[in-house]
Amino acid sequence: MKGIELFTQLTALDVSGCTALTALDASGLTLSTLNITGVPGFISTRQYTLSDTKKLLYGGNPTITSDAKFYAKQLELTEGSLRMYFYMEPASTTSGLSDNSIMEFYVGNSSTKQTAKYDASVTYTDYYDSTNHTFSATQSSGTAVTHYGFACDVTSIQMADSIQATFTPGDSGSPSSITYTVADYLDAVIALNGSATDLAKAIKDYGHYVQKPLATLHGFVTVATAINEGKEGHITIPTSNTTITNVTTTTVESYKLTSTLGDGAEVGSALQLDSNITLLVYLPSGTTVNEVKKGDETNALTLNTDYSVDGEDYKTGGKVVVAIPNLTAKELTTKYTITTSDSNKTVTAYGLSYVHSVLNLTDAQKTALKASSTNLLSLNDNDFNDFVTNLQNAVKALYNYYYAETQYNPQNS
Amino acid sequence: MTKDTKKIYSTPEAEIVRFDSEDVITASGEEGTSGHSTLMPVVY
Repeated sequence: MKGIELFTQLTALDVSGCTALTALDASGLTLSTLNITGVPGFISTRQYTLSDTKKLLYGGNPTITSDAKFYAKQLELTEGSLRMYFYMEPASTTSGLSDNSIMEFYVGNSSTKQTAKYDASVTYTDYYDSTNHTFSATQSSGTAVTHYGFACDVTSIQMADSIQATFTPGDSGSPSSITYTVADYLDAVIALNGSATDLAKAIKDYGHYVQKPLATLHGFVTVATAINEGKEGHITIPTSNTTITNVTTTTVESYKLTSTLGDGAEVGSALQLDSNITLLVYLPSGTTVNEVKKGDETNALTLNTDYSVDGEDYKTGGKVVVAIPNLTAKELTTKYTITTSDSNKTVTAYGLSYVHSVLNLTDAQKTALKASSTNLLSLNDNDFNDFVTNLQNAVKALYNYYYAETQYNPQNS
Repeated sequence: MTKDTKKIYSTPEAEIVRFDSEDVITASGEEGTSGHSTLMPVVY
């Protein structure tokens, strides 16, 4: 960890219900803390610089249980994942955490459990002023308090789902739980109206727009119901209805998929929008992939480490599929060159190639798209047209997410 | 890509251990961490 950097300015913060607002300025860096009546708490926008990663951090009011205090939440957009960090302070601040301490996460209605182990490197320290009940990043006064972080991966369609986080001390004490959503976090960052606000809006819109086409395509009844009824599990309102209209085929023209495989050699693409983003390139049956190169790098990527080749079975429609995982939104403009056994025959693809393809759908491609899925085949013409519109809105929102991440620079905050 | 029953993500900051047998990325777009496939439709 290189250290703690704070946003230099915090504006338009809603402090209703607060009894005090303290702005600390150290070396041009500002941390705002506040007390809410009767509840020691703090709101801060912090930027922790871990290598070249970019992170957002929002510290809400702590949730205090008998065995743990839950403090800040932080969304990480690096390592190719949409990853939510939960920071907490154990009941015993003097002994710290046991190596056996764990945090378990359940996201939404999923029965899948994620378990994050205690990691001494995922911590930050604040200084607690017991008189004013405030936290500060500087050691001018107060008692040092270490906050321990645990990470939970969420997918593109889980942003409005409740995350149940249960901390279990390793040696003694009882489990303690809180629930939180990525949308809660994004709303908090948006409300701060700081440098991260545009990015938070773009992420939230991405979460909103991607739900509809995926629910239709894969028949997610629960998600579809949530969308229709505005229930938990759906981000009901995009932060802006106008931003996606600005994205057109021309916007992503530079990133369209190109192929020298020859006439009749059908090449397709798709994206898997899990916690991380995977670029999938579909090649004709029988194609032998010789190598994949990233950008202008000389060395080829390593098979089954940096990418995988799969397919020619019923799951891929008999196609050969090259999967390139762990792309961040920012990396959607990274070029990948796939070379076949004939070195003169290559395919060049970017993550944004898929955005271009979806925005550039011909009637024939729409017909083929509908025929590719039993869930789509069951739609009448109007509903299928709605699906196409929703799909195009989703890729526009993905582009805005990419763009906002490229524009977000905490160093200029 | 091998389909593991236990997969470990290691980052400079954290280690996440998962025990979900479906927690793999595959080219065929099988279910991810959510139990919901997040594979967008293939477009040719």
